[in-house]
Amino acid sequence: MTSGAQVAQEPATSTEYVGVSVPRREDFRFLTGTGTFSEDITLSGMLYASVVRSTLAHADIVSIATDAARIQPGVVAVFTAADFGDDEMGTIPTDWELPIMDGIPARYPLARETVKYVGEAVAVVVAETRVQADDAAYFVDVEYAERPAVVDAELATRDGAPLVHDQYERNTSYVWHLGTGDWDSMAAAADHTVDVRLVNQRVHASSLEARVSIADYQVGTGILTLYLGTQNVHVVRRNLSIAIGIPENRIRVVTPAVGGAFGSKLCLYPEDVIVSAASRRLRRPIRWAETRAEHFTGTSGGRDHIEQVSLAADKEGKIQALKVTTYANLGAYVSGMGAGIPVVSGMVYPGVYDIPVADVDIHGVYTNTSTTETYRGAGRPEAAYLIERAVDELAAKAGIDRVELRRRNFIQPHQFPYSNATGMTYDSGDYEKALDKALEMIGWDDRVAEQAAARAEGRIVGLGLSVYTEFCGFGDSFQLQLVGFDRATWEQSVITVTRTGSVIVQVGIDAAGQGHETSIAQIVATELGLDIDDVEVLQGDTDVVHFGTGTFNSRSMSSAGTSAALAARKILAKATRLAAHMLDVETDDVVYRDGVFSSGPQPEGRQVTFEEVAVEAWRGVDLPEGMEPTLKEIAVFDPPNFTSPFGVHVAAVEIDPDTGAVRIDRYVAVDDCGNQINPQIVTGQIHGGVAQGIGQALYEELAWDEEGQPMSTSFMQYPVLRAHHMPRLETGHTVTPSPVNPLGVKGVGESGAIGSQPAVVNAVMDAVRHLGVDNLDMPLTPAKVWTALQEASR
Amino acid sequence: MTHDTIRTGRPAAAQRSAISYTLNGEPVSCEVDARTLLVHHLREERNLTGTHIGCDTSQCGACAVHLDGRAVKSCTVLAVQVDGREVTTIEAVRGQGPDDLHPVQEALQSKHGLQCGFCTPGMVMTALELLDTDQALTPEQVQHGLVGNICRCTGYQNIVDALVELSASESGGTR
Ligand code: FES
Ligand code: FES
Repeated sequence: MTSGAQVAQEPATSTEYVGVSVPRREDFRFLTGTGTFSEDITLSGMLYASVVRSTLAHADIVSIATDAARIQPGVVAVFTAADFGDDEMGTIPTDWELPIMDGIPARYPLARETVKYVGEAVAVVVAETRVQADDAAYFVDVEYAERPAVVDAELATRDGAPLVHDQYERNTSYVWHLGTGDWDSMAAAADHTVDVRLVNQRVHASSLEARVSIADYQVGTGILTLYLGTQNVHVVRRNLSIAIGIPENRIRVVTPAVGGAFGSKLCLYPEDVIVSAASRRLRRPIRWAETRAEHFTGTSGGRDHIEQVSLAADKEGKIQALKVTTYANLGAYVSGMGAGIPVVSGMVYPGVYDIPVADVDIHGVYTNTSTTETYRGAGRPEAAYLIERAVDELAAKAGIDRVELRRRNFIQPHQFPYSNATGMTYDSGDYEKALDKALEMIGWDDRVAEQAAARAEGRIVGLGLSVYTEFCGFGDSFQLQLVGFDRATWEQSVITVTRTGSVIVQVGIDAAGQGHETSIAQIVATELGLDIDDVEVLQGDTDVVHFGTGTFNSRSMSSAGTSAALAARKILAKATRLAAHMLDVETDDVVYRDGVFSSGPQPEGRQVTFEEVAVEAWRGVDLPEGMEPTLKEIAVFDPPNFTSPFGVHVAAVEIDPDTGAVRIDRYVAVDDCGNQINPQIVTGQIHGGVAQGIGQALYEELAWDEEGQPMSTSFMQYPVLRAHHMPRLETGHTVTPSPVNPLGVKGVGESGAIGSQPAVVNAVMDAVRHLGVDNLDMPLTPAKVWTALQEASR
Repeated sequence: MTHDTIRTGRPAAAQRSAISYTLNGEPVSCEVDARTLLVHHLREERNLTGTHIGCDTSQCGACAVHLDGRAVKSCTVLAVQVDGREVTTIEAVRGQGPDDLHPVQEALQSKHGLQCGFCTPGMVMTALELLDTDQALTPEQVQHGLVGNICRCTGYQNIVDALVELSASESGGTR
């Protein structure tokens, strides 16, 4: 860990910003429509691109006729793959190739010989206006020779399944084994075993702002600027450099305001490369803005795991062993971190339970669908759903109360740091405490009694809970690189104090609505004992922040927040040394508080202000021996391990017997993300995560038919939650600081999406299990629930 | 589309129409393509980019503006249709001074009713209409009033709370 000297015993400030719901400085611009999103940027001479996409899930491209498109009004160029060599438009790199994979199938931004999913880009039309580009795109005529397609990951592994990639003998990209111990002997000796098949369907982040990419290549300097909504400008810069052969120091990537991301804007996409290569060729700026239909078909979704789960337990319900076989759908190619997500998901399959034996096989499988990638939770929602559903099945089968069964199996607080049977180390936790709080908030025993009475009246009601833990703040770097993770785990902050004492923080993360400008300013202002308005936070532009790792895995506070705090401590250490020099006392005798350095306890001592010290550092003419001018420091924090947020979600539901519709009557979420920087933002993240989790549980599915035609291409077929779908969320927190970073924060961006889907589905299963329904897969639409009830009553 | 354009095969884009209307209190006279949607006109031709586009199917409400004082989805209105009418966009919604927020905007900020902010202009425009009443609104009324506006970030609760509280307060939002 990089660490500045701890200079002051007392806190540097009497105005504590950390732990306080400071209003977000981002809000004014968004409330007034003055926030600049990517599509709001117009460059002079800008052209517009429209992408022609595959209409078939799997086909050879016989020919592409572009002449008719070229002569349409306003058209400047039409490009296909044949127009670019590998040096101008190479394959798109991934960020995670597991060492056991037989390479990564080449993914060209514009398809070459074959198309492998509906929506894959085959040509691009560039015109003077967007309308002209869209009109002309209809005149591009692609002739295909159709091939059989496969969309289901499990079916794709069967003998005789259509092959997605000719160069491989099977669609299985890898089978990764996790776990220790002997399942068979544990199962043979067990008093109770359960076996459940679960489908964690494909879902889509579907941020309200779709993707936009604007490339501007400057002749002469050879500098390419790319504006896009992304969670990580630096990975885009690196991968774009590899794909188009412009060195990284001549690429500038800018992400202005981002209208939601949730993991879907984390990798380099084909269109980013296409507009970049086209701009270089045409020497004019080009904007491409995705339609919602393109977003649903081309932008990566998440989940899509089929899992066979077994548990073996003793008489008391103590779980002895876990066995899982997972078929994870990678899609047609490997996108960004897509290959690694199923594996890290497996690493938290045991959840919050002390299970000694695990036997897990994860099959990563290619299909003729769009790629899967990080989506809010990326592996942990799948894991929490898997174990929490299975534990409820075990409780039902063994006849043990599900709350009691969970208590008997919890990892206990004294066991942390705890290494589970699938190789993950949890940093800290206190599950009983969170459980007790959640049960108290919902009034569990009263709800159980009410439920019995309601059932006696013939109503279909259920109570469900989930207890989860997860992992955030990617680290450690060594372990992750062993499994082929090709992103960094560190985060950096640079702090500059100007001559007038104002503070600029450059931080290597990129917000998409999380309020980082506010939270990072809270941390730095607190560390430096300054007014929060003296601190400005910059992010999202590689010319402003030269290096960084980006926003994902709920890492922004644990990694970037920590690096900002450490950089601030370095600044304060240097400023204190300089203040001592100015006051002619020993550094240890200087007391700093609220922007004032004193030669002894305030208010008696002589004083210099932070600003006066900043001036002196800037002038640089009378510095202590060996001190360089200026107050400017960098801190890089590489987390020694993941953090492990955890929590308990409880839902009470009622099902309409006539329609099968599920109504959530009560929803309690108790989440522990360690220390909180801004409680209002923390709760907001839980709200948003729970909404998306309820969406997955009840409504959302990104589906294809058997031929690989997408069936969810608008908000009509993909019903994201509306305001009236939301139950009242009752939120609570426990605070168990993380030991792996000095702020004690764990991360909260994804927790809501992890705890919610199992809680809701467990509640529905609780409502229908006694009526004879033994399994349901998400989304629990009215039609699905109603049909299951009908079949069970036959 | 007229029969003429079908017969000649000329794209409808070639048809231009002159319109005059009031935009955020100022008169505007210009020519627009017959098929240009109001949202594209505002964003591309009037440079008012606070009105957003979130979908292709009139589902999301990110594009909401006021037409003669009523909230409409500007992706569902042709620019030619606003001839002679009055259009108000988020850029005209402010408090007393240019740096002040309108009470609806203030309420959303204080309740943390926005995260990425992409839905926010549309939410504000819809909320202004919803709050144009003497009644204190119930959470259910607000939830149903926002049925045409998608927010993928907040889970809506803070937005609903902000508007319910504002409707019950003395200023009552927009009145
Ligand atoms: S853009 Fe108008 S409703 Fe979505
Ligand atoms: S705040 Fe992001 S969509 Fe509403």
